[in-house]
Amino acid sequence: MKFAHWQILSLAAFAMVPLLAGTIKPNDYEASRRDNQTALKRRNNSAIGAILGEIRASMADMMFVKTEIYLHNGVAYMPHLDMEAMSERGEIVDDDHGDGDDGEEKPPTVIPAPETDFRGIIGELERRVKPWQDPDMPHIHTSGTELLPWYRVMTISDPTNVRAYQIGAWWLKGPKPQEALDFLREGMANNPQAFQLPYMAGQIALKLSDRSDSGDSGEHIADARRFFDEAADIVIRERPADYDRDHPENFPSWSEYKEEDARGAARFAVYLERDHGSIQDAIKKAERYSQVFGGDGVLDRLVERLGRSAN
Amino acid sequence: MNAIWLIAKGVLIEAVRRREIYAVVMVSVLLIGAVLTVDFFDLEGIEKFYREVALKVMSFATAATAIVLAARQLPREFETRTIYPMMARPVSRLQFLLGKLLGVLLATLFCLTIFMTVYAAGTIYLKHDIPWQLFTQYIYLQLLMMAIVATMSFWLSMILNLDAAITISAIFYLAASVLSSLVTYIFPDLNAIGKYLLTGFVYIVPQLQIFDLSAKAVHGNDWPPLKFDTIGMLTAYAFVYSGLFIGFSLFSFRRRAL
Amino acid sequence: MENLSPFRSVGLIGRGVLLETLRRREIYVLLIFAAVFLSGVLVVRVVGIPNPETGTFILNLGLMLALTAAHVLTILTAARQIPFELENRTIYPVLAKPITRSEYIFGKWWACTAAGALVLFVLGAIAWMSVPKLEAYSFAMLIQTVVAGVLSLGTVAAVALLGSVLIPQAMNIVLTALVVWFGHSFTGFVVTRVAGGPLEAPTRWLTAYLPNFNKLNLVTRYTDGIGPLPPGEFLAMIVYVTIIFGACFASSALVFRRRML
Repeated sequence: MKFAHWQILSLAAFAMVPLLAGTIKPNDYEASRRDNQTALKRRNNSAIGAILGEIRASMADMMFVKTEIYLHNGVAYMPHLDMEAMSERGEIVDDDHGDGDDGEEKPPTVIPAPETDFRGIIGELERRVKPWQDPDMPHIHTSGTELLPWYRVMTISDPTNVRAYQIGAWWLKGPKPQEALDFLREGMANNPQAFQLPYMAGQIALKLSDRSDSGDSGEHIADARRFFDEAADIVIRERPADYDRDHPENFPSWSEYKEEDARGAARFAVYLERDHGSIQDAIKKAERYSQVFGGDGVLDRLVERLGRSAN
Repeated sequence: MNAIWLIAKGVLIEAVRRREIYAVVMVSVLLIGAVLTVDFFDLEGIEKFYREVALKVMSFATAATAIVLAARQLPREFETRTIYPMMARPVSRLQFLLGKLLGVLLATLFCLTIFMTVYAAGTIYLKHDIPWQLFTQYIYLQLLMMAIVATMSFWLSMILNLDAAITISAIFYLAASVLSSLVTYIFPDLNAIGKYLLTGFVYIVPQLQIFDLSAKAVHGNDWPPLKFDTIGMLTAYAFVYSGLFIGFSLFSFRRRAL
Repeated sequence: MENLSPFRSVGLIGRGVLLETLRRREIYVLLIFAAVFLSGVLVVRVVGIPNPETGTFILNLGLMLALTAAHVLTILTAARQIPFELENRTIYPVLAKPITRSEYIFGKWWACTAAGALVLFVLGAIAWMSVPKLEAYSFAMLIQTVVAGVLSLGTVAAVALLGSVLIPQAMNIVLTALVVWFGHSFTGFVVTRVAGGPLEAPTRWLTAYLPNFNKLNLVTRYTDGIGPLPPGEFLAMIVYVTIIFGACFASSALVFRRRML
């Protein structure tokens, strides 16, 4: 076999291509911007979002639709679940509408009900073939564990998808807390700017320490302290300095939920320092965090109380 | 009937002998197999993911096979001039088309059988349940859907070039569910003429999404199988549209100089 | 034809591909896609755009579909070239002329890339022009997105041409499509499986040989309103793609030369 010079050069250059590939990261920009929750919610709750169903360009949008469908046992309603509440608290709650059992306005199904469907027999056949139930009936919410493989695939495909790590860990922490922690650790490595992940990991570690009867409770406590401290440190770095709780709409990348959790992370870091570290350090931490939030009632009271007990 | 069967057998043998069908089957089987190898946090009872991936792969691969195979049948016969000896025999054009359709459907069934075998083996390996009644109905409805798609491809391949016929059939198949949501959404916003046009569209253009039982099969533990009257209506619907497309193909076939 | 310069022969081969594309009326496919896009525009007009986020969402979707359609057409065109010529024996008179195998492949490559780029320009323009820009987007980023899109089409054409001399046509189409759309997920999946272990570094290195089309897709970066890539990184992208082109041409020419015609 005879090689021309250009062929040798080309193949030699190709041998080194992994070095070059690592330097090209066009989509590695600030993940929070892409995961702008308000924007995600608004575009997915729009009519266009519902029409397109699972045909989505981004994994974050895909996840939105998939989660809605799985949690309703295959029935496609107009998107209405509050994904933020789900990622922060693991709760399945309605976003804007009632949930079918309290007399409020109910979200319609994507396949319309017979009285609003102009398609006659075609609509009737579609309702019989596809999972469908009368939108006036109470919604049946199923367990989210069936969605876990999708969240795994989504985080593999897009490791900067913080929400996927959060919701996945919420469902995983019940049956498999240790695996949930590992999942969050992977998320933390890929998203060092997301305080929600160490915050959630801290809560899981704390739960594990409660449950622990094999003598490794201390280890879990140490883990929890580390996680909460890390979360609080990230909050100090990432929280918009001029954040105004009265006007959260001016801060699309820092929602009310996020603010609530940021304060939660700081408080947990202080509590654990108080209970398992030193009172003086706890006071210092509380003062510092309270300053970051421009005052926090809980932390301020804690400083006062800790100061009294230290004296 | 014998002539139809002979032509169908020819299509099936050709499909089974060609390497393309195995490429599609192999890649699909690999995809289904890859899902099996993934350990999702060591959790049990997460069959919906496996079912959904498997059914999606099966549906796409089957549709791709049916569309390409059907769209190629008639142009190839003209291109290779094998149509002439065929037409010299006592075989009517209708029998010829019906034979081709039966052959494409048998090839489709061949693909589906391979996929279902792989899927069932995987399900047994994962110790999951299979909602058999729903799955059998899923396969039957897939065949009905493919009958419409294949006959449409026959017709399109007679009036357009091969690539355009494949592209339109594929877009039509892929966009079926979006089209369905679309018409129901935009209907209230249209004026009277628009509403008439849209109603006409729904009844004139075949609505493929009504044959897609995959969502119920995925969430199958909580949904009962379809009743016989529904299956009957869907069968009649598929017969009407396949018949219409066969009629259009026949018309174009007759007009084409041999 | 005897004293043809390499540029001229490459140009002639490419011209042949484009003429064949027109002769086979593949332009129909472009028209069909354009019709689908225009129908989408009509629907958007009827339904309306309720907020800027939805406008961005539709713009993103439209550009993504344009890029996808261009990739599909490029894969189909490139994967068909050599098998088609071999089957119809039209390759023999071409290669009997003073044209090297490399020139032949290079000619096929540029024409397939050009056909794909045409689809990208037409459909991308329909999508871009029809969606009202309700949020701020960087024009420089748009230019980079288009250039990266064309580079991606060139890469897919080179990969599909290489595949066409190695494996059967259908398998080539399916595998190239899988690399384009799922390649980065696959490498991510493999790396995640070995992450934290001793195999991570070698696995990362080895998987980096698979062309990463995700790095060449800047549509979401553009619609997210992010600024253009720094010149150094954009240049690195061009060099990365050029190296892949070179490796594909070198391998295709080698395999092609050894193949009995």
